[in-house]
Amino acid sequence: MCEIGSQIAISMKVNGKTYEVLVDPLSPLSSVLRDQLRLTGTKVGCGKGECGACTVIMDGRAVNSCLVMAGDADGSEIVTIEGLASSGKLHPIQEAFVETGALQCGFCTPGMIMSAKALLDSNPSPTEEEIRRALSGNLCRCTGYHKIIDAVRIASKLIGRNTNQEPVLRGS
Amino acid sequence: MSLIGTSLPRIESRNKVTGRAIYGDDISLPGMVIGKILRSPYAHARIVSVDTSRAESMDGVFAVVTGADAQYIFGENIADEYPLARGKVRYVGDEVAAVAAVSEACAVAALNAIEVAYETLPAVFEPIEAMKEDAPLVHESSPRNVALHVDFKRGDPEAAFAEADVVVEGEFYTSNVYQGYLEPVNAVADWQPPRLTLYTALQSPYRSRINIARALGLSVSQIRIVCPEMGGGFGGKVSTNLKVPLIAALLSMKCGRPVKITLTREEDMEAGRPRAGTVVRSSLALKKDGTFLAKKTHIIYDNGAYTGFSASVMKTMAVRAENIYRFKACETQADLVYTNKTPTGPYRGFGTPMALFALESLVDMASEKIGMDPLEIRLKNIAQKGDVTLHGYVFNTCGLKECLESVKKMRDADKERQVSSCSTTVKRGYGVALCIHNSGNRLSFGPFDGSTAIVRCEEDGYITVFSGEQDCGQGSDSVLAQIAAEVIGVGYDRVRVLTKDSEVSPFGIGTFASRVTMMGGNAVRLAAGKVRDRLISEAAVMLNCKPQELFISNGIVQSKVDPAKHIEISEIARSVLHKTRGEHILERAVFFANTEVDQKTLYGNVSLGYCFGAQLCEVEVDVETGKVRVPKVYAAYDVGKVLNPMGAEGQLQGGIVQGIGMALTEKLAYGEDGRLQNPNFRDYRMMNIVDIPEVRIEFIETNEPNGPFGAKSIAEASMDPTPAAVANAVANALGARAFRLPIEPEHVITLAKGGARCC
Repeated sequence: MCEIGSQIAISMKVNGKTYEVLVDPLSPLSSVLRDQLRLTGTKVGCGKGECGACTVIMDGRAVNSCLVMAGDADGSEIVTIEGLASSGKLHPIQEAFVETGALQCGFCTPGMIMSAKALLDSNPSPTEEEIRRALSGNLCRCTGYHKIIDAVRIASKLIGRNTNQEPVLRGS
Repeated sequence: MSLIGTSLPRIESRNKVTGRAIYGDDISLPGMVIGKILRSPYAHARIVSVDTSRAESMDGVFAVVTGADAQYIFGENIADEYPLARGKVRYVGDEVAAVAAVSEACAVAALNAIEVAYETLPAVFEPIEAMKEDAPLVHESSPRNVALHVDFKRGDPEAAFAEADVVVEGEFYTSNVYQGYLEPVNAVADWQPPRLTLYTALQSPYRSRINIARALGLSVSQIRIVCPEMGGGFGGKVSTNLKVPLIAALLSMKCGRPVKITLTREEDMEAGRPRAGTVVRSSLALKKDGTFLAKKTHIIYDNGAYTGFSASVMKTMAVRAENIYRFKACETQADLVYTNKTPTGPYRGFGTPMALFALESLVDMASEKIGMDPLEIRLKNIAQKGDVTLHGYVFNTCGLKECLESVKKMRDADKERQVSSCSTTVKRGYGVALCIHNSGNRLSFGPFDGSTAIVRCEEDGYITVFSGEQDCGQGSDSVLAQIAAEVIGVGYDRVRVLTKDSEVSPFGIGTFASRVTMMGGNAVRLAAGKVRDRLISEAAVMLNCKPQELFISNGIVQSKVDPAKHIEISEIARSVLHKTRGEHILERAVFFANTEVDQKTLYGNVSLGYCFGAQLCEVEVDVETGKVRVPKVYAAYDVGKVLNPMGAEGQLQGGIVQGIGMALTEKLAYGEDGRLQNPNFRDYRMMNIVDIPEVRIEFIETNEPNGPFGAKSIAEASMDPTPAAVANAVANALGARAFRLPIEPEHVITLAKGGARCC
């Protein structure tokens, strides 16, 4: 027989909106986001926390959403790749990835951008070493990573410029 | 301003950075159920019985299929496999049965309820062992497990060897290497009799459709293939791993619902189609002044359990690499050998990185033996523009000499370069390797190599390009858009390239052989040219002037003579639509490669243009830990005219990093029972952002007369020479040579003990 595990109701804020969802508490957050909320921008490359494609920001920290159990996401605040652009305007990190050619097949891109966002949120002017360390949980097979490093550097500058022009840096 | 030579972002960039790009696993259809595959736990066994009754009766299970449902044999090069195993299994991971169920958990439970009785058989894992008379047979129809034997001679190799002052030889081993695309293989199959729709990202949808039809007993037009965004392919999604769409199709045909299968990473590694491990026994004969005379080579190629595309890969491996030098003669043999391991297939380079590892190692060995600088000996022997090579390749353009000179110059001019001698435990070394790659390959698809494109001007002046060549993530759609925009005279942002859909896309051979810029690009160039000409001739009537005086810029047809005369192409397109009562301005063009190769001897000019490159790598080798680091790579490439420098650089950087992985860490390791030991990204080590070297790039721009705007190709060449260059650099650092890839730490330590020299 196929047993369906007992489900629980969780509440989480995703990209600024609150969702009440019935979930299998042991299922991964990545599945809840992709299959239940239909936020398929979060990619699953390995399901084991080894590739970083499923990275989202949970309560301010970059996490592998395939390793977070749905039950543990109750009450949390989550930002996914869909939550970055606002009113059709790309986030500076997204803009920098486009302009520098930091993406090829694009499958690692959402996770890469979320890791970069978590970094720049806490450290707006990282060194190359800090960029490399912050993105070391994200694999990319296409780019060789060089242009990704360039993109994060440029994003850091773009964000800095916005900060100087505008008194408050608008978050995502 | 010309768009050619401009760094342009990809046309689909925005979707990719916002999470809106749709990949196969993102697709969900009404009524869709989830498919899972039951795989063989044995490397070689007879299937005695399969009992699916318990699984079939489970709630939530919609279909169970086994080899009994898969009666048609198929294969890209050799028909040697069924969608599901029949009679026996041939490797750990071989597909035995599959279920479709309401959820993944339910499908897994149903798989566990299938009872398979096996009778294990002796297995063979190494191709050299497999070729022995008494070895177990993977396929009874192939004696000594040889699926294909190729041999050919050019010139008089015996005489050339007799004339030689020096002969160097070696036996070179490479391992199975995984393509490592981040998106695991997946497919959604939707059977609505009599038609099957497959949503699956294949590098070669039209070729695959032929095989899929054969494997399912359908006719091709019953099958529609829609390609979603592809999360990387690198050859691994050319058409060889068709099991996933085929099994999804069998399940959908049985339960009448759409079925999605997405492989786990473990399955993708265990049952993908990785690069084959090879053994290359080779000798090179030369004069003491450094002039190369001839080469003898025997390739033993680990086919794995089924052939897929590997016969083509092996044939290419036997021929391509050595065209970089002016050999007078050669003798080559190659054996494609079945083993009870994962079936192999194409991966970036199509055999060339393995062939170059052997060849470029031998060249360095020769240079050491006669005391000539490795760059000098190459300069003395490289092919040049105008050459017709030993194998019949015709070089209209060839920047090999400039590439070699460029990497040397880049290194010598690098002020940040560490030149000081190393510490007692860390040795520094430099190694160079050259490469060649085709831009399209005559042997790819029966009697022709070419491409078709349709270009349409919409009523609002936007341009739609229909091509059958799939973008596998490398950016070929953007190259096609760039070419169409340039030819017609509209903005790059005005061009859309349609998703590949066999219902509407013209026939395309597919994305491999580094062929899309040359073949697809030329077809788009021709079709776009016809659209431009049509727009101008219509405009001439509308503006009452001669077509010769008109040109299109920024979407406006303008007169060179009278600036007052101008009209937007959108207006022309609307006028034509009304005038013709509903016809768009739509033009079609076929580009055909006038190349020729003898299928048996493999002699001939396989491609319209060849790209060339040189890579010079610096390594730091820690003789105590055995760890090798690559701090710098200097790369110079002749890819013809560089259409999009940012895209070309991205290809090179990515290829070089993959190549370093192949040289130092990447190896699919099989245990004594034939089971893959490292089917995950933790134990299978690909390069991480913290490992990458600095890469300095220079493009040597030749102007290939056959290429669109003088362009050739780059995708595969980027990786081809890297493993060889790293191996040569390690040999340079240690004074002892590795004959096996990857060069693992324990091997480095052994080498260092045997031959470390003070630096």
